[in-house]
Amino acid sequence: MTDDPSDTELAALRAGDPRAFLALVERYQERLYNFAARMCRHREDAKDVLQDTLLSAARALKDFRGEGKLSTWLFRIAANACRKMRRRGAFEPERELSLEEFMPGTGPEGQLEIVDWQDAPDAALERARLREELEAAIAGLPLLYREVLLLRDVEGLSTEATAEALGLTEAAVKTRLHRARLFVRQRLARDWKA
Amino acid sequence: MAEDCRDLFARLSEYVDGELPGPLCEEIRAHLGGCPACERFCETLRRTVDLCRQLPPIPLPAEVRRELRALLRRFVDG
Repeated sequence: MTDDPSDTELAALRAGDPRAFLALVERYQERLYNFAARMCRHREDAKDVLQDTLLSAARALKDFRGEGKLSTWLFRIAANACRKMRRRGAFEPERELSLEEFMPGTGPEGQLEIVDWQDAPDAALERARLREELEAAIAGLPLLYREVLLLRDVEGLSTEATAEALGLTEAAVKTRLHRARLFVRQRLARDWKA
Repeated sequence: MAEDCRDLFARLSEYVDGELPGPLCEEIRAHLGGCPACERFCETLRRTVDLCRQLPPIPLPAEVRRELRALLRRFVDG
């Protein structure tokens, strides 16, 4: 979200201008939904998160101080809504990922290749298959790691903005991101080898 | 995995993202130049990140968009 509102638009938002707010919704709803859909994995939950996020934003906009980007602030609200959704939902055990489990041994792991979309002989078919495997790998990530990978690598937020959105230190973002990427890499490598 | 490979393993994402200080970045680059296994690993990690960045968005369904708009309109209209 690089197209943050101008100062004039921000002033209108803080003043509670309905047109400015509906324009804000138009601007951000797709990316917020995209994030929520991959965080929650269920479309119905993603819809609820999107609605909660934008309603909360509408209520809190007058207090938005403008110190960070508005998009980061919105992702922060969305991430909190996703975390609450998880607590309400079916118990999904959270687990820590350790570096050790991704370290290649001296065996074939170090040689595994990830087929790139561009390398595929039947581009359209292989692209669809790879996309499906990538989505499954991301969905398989524990939530603590999924939220970091989605914000950094899928939504394109900086380390600093991701830390701000998730209430983490930048060091924690880097640690979790690395493990998340290693997890996804390992899944893709394994799937393509099979 | 050799000891010096283990040391850089923990920093590879920062290397790929260009977030490491110059000297450490150079050290890793030098190691990768002389260690085909680590170079291969780093390349596949880089590809993983590229794939995530190219992942197409999940489209916002039309009915979700409509429902949201109606909900927010009711809210802003008080």
